[in-house]
Amino acid sequence: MAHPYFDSSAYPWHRKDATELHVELYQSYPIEGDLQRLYKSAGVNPIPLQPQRIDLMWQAALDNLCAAGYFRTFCDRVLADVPPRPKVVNLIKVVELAEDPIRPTLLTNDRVFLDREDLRDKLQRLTSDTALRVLLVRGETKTGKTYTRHLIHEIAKASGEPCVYLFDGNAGTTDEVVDVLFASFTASDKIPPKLETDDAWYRKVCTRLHEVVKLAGKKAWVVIDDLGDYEKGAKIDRKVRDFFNRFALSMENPEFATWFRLVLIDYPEVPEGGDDRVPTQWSDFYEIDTPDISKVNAAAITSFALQWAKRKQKNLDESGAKAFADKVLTAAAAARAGKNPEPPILPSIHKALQQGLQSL
Amino acid sequence: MILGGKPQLFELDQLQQALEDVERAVVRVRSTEPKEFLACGFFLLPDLIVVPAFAFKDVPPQALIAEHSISAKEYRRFTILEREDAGHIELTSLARSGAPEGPLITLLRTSESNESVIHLQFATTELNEFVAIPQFVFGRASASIAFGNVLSITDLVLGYNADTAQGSSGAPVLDDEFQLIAMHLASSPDKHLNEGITRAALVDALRESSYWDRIREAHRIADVVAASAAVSDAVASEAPPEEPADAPLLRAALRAKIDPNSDDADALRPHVADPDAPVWALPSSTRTEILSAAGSLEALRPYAPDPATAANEPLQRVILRVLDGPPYDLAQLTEEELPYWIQASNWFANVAPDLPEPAQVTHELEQRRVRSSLERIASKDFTGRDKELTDLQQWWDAAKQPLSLSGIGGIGKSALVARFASTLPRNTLLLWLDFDRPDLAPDDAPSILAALAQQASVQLDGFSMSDLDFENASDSAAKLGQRIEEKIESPALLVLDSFEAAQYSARYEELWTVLEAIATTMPSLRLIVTGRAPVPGLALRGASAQTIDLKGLEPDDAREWLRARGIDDDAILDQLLQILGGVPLNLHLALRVFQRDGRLPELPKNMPPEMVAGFLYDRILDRVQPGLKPLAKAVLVVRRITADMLLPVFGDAVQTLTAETAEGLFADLAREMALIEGTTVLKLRSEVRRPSLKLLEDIEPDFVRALDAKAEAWFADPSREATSNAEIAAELVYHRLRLGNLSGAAQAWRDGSRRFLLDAGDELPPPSLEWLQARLGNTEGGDSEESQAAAAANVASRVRNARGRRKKGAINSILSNARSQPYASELVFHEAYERWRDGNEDEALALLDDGGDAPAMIGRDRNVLRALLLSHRDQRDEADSLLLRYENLQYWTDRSAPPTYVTAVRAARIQLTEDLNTELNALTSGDYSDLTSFDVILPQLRTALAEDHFALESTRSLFGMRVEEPRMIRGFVDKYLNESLEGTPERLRQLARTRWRLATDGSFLLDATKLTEKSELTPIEFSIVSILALFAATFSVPHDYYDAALVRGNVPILQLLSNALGDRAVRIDASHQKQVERIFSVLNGNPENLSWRGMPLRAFPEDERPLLIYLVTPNPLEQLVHELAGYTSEAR
Repeated sequence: MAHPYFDSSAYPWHRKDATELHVELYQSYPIEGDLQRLYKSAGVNPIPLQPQRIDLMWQAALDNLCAAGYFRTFCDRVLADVPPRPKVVNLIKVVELAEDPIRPTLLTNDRVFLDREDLRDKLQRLTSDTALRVLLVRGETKTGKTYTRHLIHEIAKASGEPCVYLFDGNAGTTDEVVDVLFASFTASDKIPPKLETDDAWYRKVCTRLHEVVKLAGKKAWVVIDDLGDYEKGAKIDRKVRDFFNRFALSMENPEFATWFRLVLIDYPEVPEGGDDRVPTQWSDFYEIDTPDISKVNAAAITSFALQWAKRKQKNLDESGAKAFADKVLTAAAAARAGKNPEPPILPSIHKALQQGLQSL
Repeated sequence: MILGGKPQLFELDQLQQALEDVERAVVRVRSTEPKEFLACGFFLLPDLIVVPAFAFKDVPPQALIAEHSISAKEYRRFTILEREDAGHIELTSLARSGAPEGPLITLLRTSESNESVIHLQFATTELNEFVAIPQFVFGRASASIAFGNVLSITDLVLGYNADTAQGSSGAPVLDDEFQLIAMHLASSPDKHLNEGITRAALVDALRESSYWDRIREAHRIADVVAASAAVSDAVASEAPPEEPADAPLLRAALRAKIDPNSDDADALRPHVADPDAPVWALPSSTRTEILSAAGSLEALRPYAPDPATAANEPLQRVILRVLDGPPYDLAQLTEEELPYWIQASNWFANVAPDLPEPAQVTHELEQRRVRSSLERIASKDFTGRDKELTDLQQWWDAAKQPLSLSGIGGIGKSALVARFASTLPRNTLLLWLDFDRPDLAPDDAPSILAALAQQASVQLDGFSMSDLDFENASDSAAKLGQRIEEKIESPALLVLDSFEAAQYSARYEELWTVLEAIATTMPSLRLIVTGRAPVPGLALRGASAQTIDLKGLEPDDAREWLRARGIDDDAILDQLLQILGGVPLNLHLALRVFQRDGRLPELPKNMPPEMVAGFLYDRILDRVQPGLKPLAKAVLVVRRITADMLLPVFGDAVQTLTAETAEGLFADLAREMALIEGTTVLKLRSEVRRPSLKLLEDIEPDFVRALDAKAEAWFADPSREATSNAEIAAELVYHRLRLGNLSGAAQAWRDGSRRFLLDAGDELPPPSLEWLQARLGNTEGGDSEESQAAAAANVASRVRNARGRRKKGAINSILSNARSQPYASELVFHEAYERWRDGNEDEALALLDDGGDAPAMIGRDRNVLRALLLSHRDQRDEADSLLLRYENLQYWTDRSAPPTYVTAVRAARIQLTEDLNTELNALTSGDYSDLTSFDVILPQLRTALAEDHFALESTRSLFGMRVEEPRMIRGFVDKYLNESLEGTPERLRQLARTRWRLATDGSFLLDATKLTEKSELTPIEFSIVSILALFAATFSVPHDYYDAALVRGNVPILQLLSNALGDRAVRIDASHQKQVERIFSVLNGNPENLSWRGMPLRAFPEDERPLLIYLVTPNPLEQLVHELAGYTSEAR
């Protein structure tokens, strides 16, 4: 699970509980000696803190602890500290319970994101397991592949990590892709000149982007959509896929992978060579997610309704949620009945659900 | 100790507060007429009391009194203004004798408001859950409270064992958060439990009352009925016809990019793909919908942007061109704009039917790129090379043999071939495979064939290979050649470019079979292979390759090139040409430096460092992270690097290298997989090292020589044991040869060094090279034992590499080719591994048995796999005997962390003592009378045997003990087990005895526990931790680990294990699925109810968690085998 604090390489300053904890820490531990004692006990050889105003020192300490992956240990140390500082202890308990942004089915702006448990598992591993570095999303049309981006945005936002979403509207060519990527990090002037073969240039772009992102100090999500081959042809220039094939291969390098999380949506199923139908030089760093609409069933909608109720601070019991879910599925099925060709089920479910939620 | 799944501990002050609130929300209700009746009630709203309907049937409001005590002598009485009955559920399941049917509850509205109300609990109620019932027993004025647990649950009725008495009907039944889960009614007919109507039934009744809206709002109850009706209404209403979008959306749909600060921004924000992006765009589905709804290009044109905005925006130009209407002639479009037509043809398909389809645009684009890419590679700056072009033309005309074109990086190989190819007739089929591409690998025939087929289909009308799957490589290759041959009228050129990537990693041999098959059916094929070194033995159709060793440009050509670009000082040019060596990339670098600095006189002096940066760093070490490049440059000189040599050998050469930074830099270097192989002994990838070293020697010979001298001194130091270690001796010989010290090399030579020097020739000066060649003897023969071992090692390495890339086809191909070789017996492990993975365990074991034993690591690999296969046959003792010898560091020196593997072997041996199936059988049959809790792992079985306290007491502090401490208790363990075994030769007991001995002999538990400290575990470490979990599973009490060194105090083992498991999703390997399901079926009942996916560990009962961790983590013996096979993560 990508805990917004413990699994993030950056202290989530955008969170209210994060800023509250910072304030409480420097108010409860205003002496530098206390700060240093707790800081040094959290991990091996933490980056030395420069003496400055105590709130700024605490700010640097929190940044460093998250960057080094020591924040969880730090919290343990503070909880065990004698004498205990009750306010800090309470806030740390809040921090420990901070919600996993991967699991919710109700996203920001009340966006519904049903089921996709397999995807969530993989995103969980993408954010916490160093072996999985690239996620491919494949599958038939209207199964929610593109919708994946909303969950990724949610996760990135919760971790305070930048997320670049590329699709046929902004990434029709490799030049556009590279422009958008560098512009996202305000580094358009860092795009390397094109003096070599395409693939050699792609490698150089990856190297330069690595430098840029590393300098920015935050792991970046890169999500590219519309990579597939469709009935009437591709949606974007195939060279964009070549570029991302190279980008993904760069993820084999652990240092490079430290700074990126790469998601390739609608990655084509057609053979490109190799047993797994992905570039043959890719090794074991990727996984494939294929949305399964049959899992958007009564159980998934029930689970969503319960989460929705919790978020909206409404009281809804499981049987009520299940009754509502059954109604939604029946209505969605009725909406498609007798139509030729039969429209995809997901939009019908979403429509029925949205209508119902307004009165729930 | 928490005895249940959920802690039942209450903070006293909070409990006190909660009880006070509850007391104020509960009332005693009395009727005075027609007869006196007593019951309880509770406030659901500040002015609304709920009571059971049967209690006060037909009693008028004024005859009802509701009251509760507010102090010892003081009561608060509420006047009832009106009453309303609600709910008509037949409580047949309550079956109270004589209970009247009719309304379920009565709602009493009071004249004044009460400050406390009872809150409803909507979470699912579980069996055994805590309940509390505040009540007025026997009509007493002061409230009492009874506690108990839930004993039965139906939709309507909750049964519990909390005490009640006369007058308690109507009391709220509360959970441990003091929220209502039922309303008490009566005792059950058999008087075994008390019963009340569930919260759900109560809410259903309330829904019928006139107070429902207030209640729903106050208690924030989701309105399922209203929501369900709304869902039905939505379906009933027909979708409105598609209407044209509003103007802002139409304008946005016709814009390539949207400015987030534009006037339309607010209207567009909900529709754009990413509102946080610096530049907005509509998602294609939205865009297509808007454009389609407009109906026609005419309808869209008024919303088109000003053409002036499209000047620098090719996509915008394309959109405007589409709006202009047909004809859309692809041939008239520029190559720059064509990619954007792919997008536009998708978006506008419904309003511009004359638009070409995206596939047509792609085809046109790729056709043009065949030629334009040649022009780009051989840029307009291309100069000279007249002789080489003539040679190429002659080679082409002769049409006899393949061509090998070699030269250092940046010398212009690709440019030369591209220039030559561009001179061929336009209808020449050009097939160009750049082995730098991720989707090509020479040992993966399908990738080659797919690429060739794709390129042929772009250039040849009507060509298709879509009916072939390419898995049968030779057959498909022959068909590919044949079909191409049928379509072409003149010879075709196939270029294998950047072949060094394949060449140096020795992964290219499988390619020739495929190419030969193509060439056989395609006689007109001409083949050029470009790489940084000639391809040895390159031949096609029996003809050996012609070779061209490409050097720098002719001095006159280079001079002319520079002069034409403003570098026209003859003296400077002379100096520059010496430095640049005619390498085109260097010429470009020099020009760039000149254009940047403008200082011609200083150019010769500035060029060497610029070449390091621009050529070595950017071109060769381009994938190495910037901060590491100076160190990466230095380590190019040394073939074998260890952490301890970093400072002594490279300290002077690398500024950033100090005693403080050495360790971190070494770790960083080890992570540079594009440059380095290994983790503790680093070896540079030869494909990067060789060309880079050559270049570095040209640019900075003194730097290189100084490092050779340092390395020589390092390896010569007696502590390195070059006299006894053949590999170290080989490194000493190598550096002495590079320094020209032939006598020193002869002195350092040891038996066994030969194989480490077989490929060193390219890096030696001529006299040293001759000396080495003489010493190595006939390297072509390959008959010697050493050569065979090297060849076998090479094949094994390629197999592992292919496994790392999941290339099953490539593995089979490599192994199949190797079967006829004399060294085939050394590949038995890999053959057997493949059979096992294919499900043929018997065949795998037979192969291993036929192969017999083998020395060193080859034998180790076979025996570990053999042990795994034997364990599957339940031959545990035999498997254990095989593993026993590998608990020795000397067998794991080829691994990055040998001690971990020794621990993993111990873990594997312990794992062999686990027999959950037999335990399950014992549990289900009830036949476990001879066992003790010490012998078993399953929690339920342990519980059944829990009267034996010895295990608990003697093993409490096992985890984390130092080496000598477990021995202290081992005596007890042995004594206990030996005694217990007398007369009871139970299999489980024997296994348990072995298990405990293995765990307590040595430091296994300590080592395994320490691993849980690591923030990230490798799969092999994870498999060791899984065995720790197995031991944790054998305790029925929470267990602590005390680690004084880490000053962590006591940490529950379960917490450590949970940390190690992290937040991984619970994943179960398919091969273990059945066992796991069976276990949890026996433990928990119905396994279908278990949703493994994403289930957090805490969702499982605490005493089952260690077992779960054990079951879902990698199995150590399997993981060992996978890693020996070349997988670095869990094999798939």
